[in-house]
Amino acid sequence: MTIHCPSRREIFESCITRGLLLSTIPLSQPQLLSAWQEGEAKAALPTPKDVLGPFFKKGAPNQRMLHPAGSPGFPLRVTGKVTNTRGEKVPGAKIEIWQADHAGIYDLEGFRYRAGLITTETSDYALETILPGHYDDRPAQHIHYLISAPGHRTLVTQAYFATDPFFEGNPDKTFAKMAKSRDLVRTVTLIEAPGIPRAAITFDICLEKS
Amino acid sequence: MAIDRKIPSDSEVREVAFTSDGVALAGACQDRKVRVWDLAKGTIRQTLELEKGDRVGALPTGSDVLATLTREGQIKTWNLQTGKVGIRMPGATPETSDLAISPDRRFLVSSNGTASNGSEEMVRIWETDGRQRASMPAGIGGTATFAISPDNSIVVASSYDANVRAWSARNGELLGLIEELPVAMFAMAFSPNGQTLATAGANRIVYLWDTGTWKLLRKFAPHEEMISSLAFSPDGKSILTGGFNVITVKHPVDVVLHETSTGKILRTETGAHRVGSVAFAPDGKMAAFADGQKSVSLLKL
Repeated sequence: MTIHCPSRREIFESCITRGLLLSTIPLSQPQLLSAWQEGEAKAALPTPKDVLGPFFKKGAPNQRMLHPAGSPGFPLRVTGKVTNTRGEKVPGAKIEIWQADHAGIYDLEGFRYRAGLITTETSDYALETILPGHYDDRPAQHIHYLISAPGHRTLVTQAYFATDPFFEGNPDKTFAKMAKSRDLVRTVTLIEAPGIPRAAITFDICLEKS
Repeated sequence: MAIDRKIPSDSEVREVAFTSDGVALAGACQDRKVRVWDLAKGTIRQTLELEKGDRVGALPTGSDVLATLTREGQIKTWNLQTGKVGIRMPGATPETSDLAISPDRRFLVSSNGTASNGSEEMVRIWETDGRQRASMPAGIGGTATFAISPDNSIVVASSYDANVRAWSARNGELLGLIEELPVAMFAMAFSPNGQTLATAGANRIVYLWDTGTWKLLRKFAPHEEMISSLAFSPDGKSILTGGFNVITVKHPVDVVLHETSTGKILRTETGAHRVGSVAFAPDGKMAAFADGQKSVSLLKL
């Protein structure tokens, strides 16, 4: 027996015909459908992928503070949440994070500037670190992410900083020098916490269902 | 100790390989030319000018063959003696991260990501007529390097996710999975008898694995720098490694000759910040390394 699974268009048309979806907007049905689908697609776009790079290390601890107390570098807070392309929250997702220190060096002996976080019940995560340093091979500041969750495709990506001198104050134009997508270059907010200025970025992650 | 001899090059040399007769040395250069030098005279015997968009995929010692890749995934092989293109095959898309050719030149191995947004990697084994023999899931994030056993029976890939996978070259069956490494291995080589696989990479340690059980046999003391290239001598008794350092292009690195059985350091030389490849001459009396300079360094052994 074949079960017919109605398309989004068929559901939309059926809802309009049956009075389940009302519209006060003076648009034709195809225009409404297209606006609806566009809106849905935008909300559900997966986070673009980027390269893994050579310096991933297994077994990073679940630690919110990535840098040792008193270490040099400009303090940075990163917050975000993990959702999927259906708009669902993904609690319990594993987020592997690693970055270079202020001098552009990755810790391959220990786990400085590395963490393996698990998203909370509300699918959030947060960490305290410093702005990563620059190094010759990949001269833009970046934080590496490897995100996995049951029922979802594993994503490898990177967060970049719109304020990085490498982007010349105009990441709309220059992002492709390093980042795989403009969406990965994040706006930096200066916050006071506590008593000293620090940078903050939001990096929300949207996974694809597998 | 000093480098015994340098062969000058008009362009920076990234990778080197000896020809099967041991009388010539091929160098893949920054200007997208592969130069083949006569070792005795130091003169150029052959220059292969890669076609637009080509990049070097594999330049193994002793095979007299170079394999290149186009952005579209097309694979080509070139004869180092004649300079002519041998095989052209479509390959796979999207962009191939690494390529290898078997010692008997009867198959090639490529590694590709997925066309969609996922970060899963696939390794494929290709017949020389372009048919795909097998395809295998190969972890997350891409392949750092391949090794193929001297008898052409095993393909090994080192993934940037820090796992090493070994497959049957005949049908792609998974033979071994090494999960105990903390970081990615950038260089790998089989011993000449095929019984040992040497791996080395981001944590500066050379590891030796039993290719029957895929268990660790032993590891050497850590180097000063990370390791980007590695080769066994033809008699298997020594291993040459080349280092790299990403922090500054001016940071010198070690090129180290080890005794395989003990890890003892027999000789140390200095390379520039990244040693792209190290190679032994087929008779084992000489080794060469390329470190991105306008010369190839030769060591008499």
